[in-house]
Amino acid sequence: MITGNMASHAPILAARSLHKTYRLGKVGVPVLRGVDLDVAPGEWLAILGASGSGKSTLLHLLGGLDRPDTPAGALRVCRRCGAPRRGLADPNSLCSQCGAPVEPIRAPEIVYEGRDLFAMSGVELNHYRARHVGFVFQFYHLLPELNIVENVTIGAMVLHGRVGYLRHGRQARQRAEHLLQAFGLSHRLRHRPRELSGGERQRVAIARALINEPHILLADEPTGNLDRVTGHAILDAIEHLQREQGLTMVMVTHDPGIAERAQRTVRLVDGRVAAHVENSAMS
Amino acid sequence: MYQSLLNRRYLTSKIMPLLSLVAVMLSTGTILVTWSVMGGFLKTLMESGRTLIGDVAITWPNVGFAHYEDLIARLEREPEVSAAAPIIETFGMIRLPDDQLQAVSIRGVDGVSFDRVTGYASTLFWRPLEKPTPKDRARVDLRLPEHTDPSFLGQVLENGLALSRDDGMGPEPAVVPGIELTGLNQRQSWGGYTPMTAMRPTASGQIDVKNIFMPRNGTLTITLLAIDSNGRFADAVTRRFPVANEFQSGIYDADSQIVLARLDALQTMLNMDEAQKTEPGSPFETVIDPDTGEELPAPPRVIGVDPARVTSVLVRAKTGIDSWTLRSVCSRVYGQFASAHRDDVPSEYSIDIRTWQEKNATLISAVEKETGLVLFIFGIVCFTNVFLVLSIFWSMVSEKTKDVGILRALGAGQLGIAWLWLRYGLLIGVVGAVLGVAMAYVIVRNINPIHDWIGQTTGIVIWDPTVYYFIEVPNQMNWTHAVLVFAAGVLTCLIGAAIPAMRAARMDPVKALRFE
Repeated sequence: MITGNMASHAPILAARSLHKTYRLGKVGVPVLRGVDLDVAPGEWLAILGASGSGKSTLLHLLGGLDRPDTPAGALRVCRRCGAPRRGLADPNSLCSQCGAPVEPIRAPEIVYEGRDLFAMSGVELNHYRARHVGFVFQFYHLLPELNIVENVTIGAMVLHGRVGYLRHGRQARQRAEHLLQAFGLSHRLRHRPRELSGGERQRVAIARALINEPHILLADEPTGNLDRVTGHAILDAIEHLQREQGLTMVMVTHDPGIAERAQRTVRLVDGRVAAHVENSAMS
Repeated sequence: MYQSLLNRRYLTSKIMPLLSLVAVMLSTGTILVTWSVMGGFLKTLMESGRTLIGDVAITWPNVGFAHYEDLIARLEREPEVSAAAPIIETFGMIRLPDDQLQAVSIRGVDGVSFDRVTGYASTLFWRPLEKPTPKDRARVDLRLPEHTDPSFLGQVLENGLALSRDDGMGPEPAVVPGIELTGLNQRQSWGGYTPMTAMRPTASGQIDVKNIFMPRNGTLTITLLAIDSNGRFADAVTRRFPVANEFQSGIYDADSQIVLARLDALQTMLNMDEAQKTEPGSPFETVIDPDTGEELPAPPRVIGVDPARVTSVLVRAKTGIDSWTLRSVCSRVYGQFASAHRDDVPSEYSIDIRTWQEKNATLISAVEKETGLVLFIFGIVCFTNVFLVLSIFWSMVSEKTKDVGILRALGAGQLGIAWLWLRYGLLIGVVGAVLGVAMAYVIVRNINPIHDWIGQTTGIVIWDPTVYYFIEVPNQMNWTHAVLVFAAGVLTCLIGAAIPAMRAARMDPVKALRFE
């Protein structure tokens, strides 16, 4: 489903038929039950959902950190009665409970700029994560042994490798310092994460996500661990970046108040997309 | 790049890697100290095994072979040969001053040439000393000038070299027994010997104290079984010899069982000296005694000279020539020698030409077994190290699970994560092993002061000079061993880190990020 905002653009990221089931011992718990999603270039998309609705899983899949179920392994659920059914995609299969046709599962795909992530090699997928997307997590996930400049530049180290970093290292350090300065952290450059407040840590995490100038920022509850004022300050910073740099952002949140700051909101319910809402329509 | 940054930070901010580093340091250091001391001990033992033998011995036992001077001259013309010396090796009985009889190995040597081949002079124990031996801090060694007249000891040393002693009636052939042979020298805690003192009550009720110093006036009576040139036993021969000096070779067996005697004296006793070769005259031939005019059976006819014989010629190689090369040279030279003296000397196919390693095969085999044992222990310690590093790294990888998830989210690949931990293991191995080698070097170089300090403060003397045959603990580090131990230390760390590294690399990044 493409909204009016995206009509004029081909999606930068398109997800099709994403299924994901987690195993809890012998029990399979379906988290995503066939998610289709398009993200337009420069768009700020919020994925709204209750806890356990699969929004973080979806974000991990979009970032190439995780892989969706294959059609053979996916747990399919009858749309009419909800009865689970496992097996190969068969267009003619019927639900054993209610007899309704069971929607066949097509092969999952996440297409980034025309390339399917799951057709990429491991090296290409690593490069995709390092170069094209930036992750921001609810709990910041900074490396405690490194100071904040190092925490930011480590993304560049991962991208360029030893030899490449010799060439790009100076530039990366300058960009890190510039980003940290832009986030008001120029006086904290040599501090360790434990010496920073939650808001400061999250700003460091955003700077780290942006160090390699990614096209997409994937933020998982970026304000979930912050108080309201700090959270909105972080959102202001993100919004500023998005507008200034035309960054594409996919933000996961359970808070409708935060989601409405995005241009578009996708609501996830029980692992499915329940609604696409333009920001102006959401209230 | 990120691996080196994180390795540095992990190493300096965590206690666990420091523990594994200390473990590597201690294990490599301990192994190297043990190996150096054991290796030094074994090397000294092996070198001592060479004493009194030279590099190669050409031997025809018991009967001996003639024309040895020619063989020596031929050998000394070879560029690989430094010197050669004739000796006689035989067995006999000695009667000690307390009338005990003892079976011994007797070697007849020419002091000067024997010294050139074996360094015999340096083994003579009684000699004037200018400064005390390392452990003789109280300066109680009788060889020091304050205890014994250096000129007397100088004379004793000369006597030992010449294997003769002059007791006022001109120099006469003497013997030099091993320092432990007579049982009259007591080994002291400072590593030297003191002659025993005999005390006996006199008829007047006084105590007569007698210092039994063999090279001054002691004698040994030697009994040998002479063998003629055809290998037949002749009569037993007994002769009393003054003691010129005593030698300490460094091998207890040699020092307690070998007596060196002067070559010419031993040749005479064993009928191996030069003699006229005769054949019986005709039973019908007679001669008239010019004094009495009596007709007597004709005496045996002299038909030539039976040259002097020795049982062995010892050969020393020039510096840089190994004993195996020298053996080949000796074989070749002996072949030429045998051709020149056909029928007079054993053929080149039957003569026994052996290197000192072959002659000391029993000792060397024991040495090799001890080395093998050390290496076995070394292997076990290394193996323990693998598990130590593995357990520490396993625990660290668990603790750093979230870091792995973060790095994967930033684009790090599985190989990069594996290298992070392998590199960390390598770093700990290299730093730990370098510190271990440095520690070992300091300890080995100062092992004698350390050993003395332990002895003084705790009373525990591990390397007791009255038991061990070396005064000082060997304090040389073998750098080949150091490199091997270093490599093994690093390798064990790498092996220990490999499994945790694989575990980290195979972690599901999503689960790692959710790890609490």
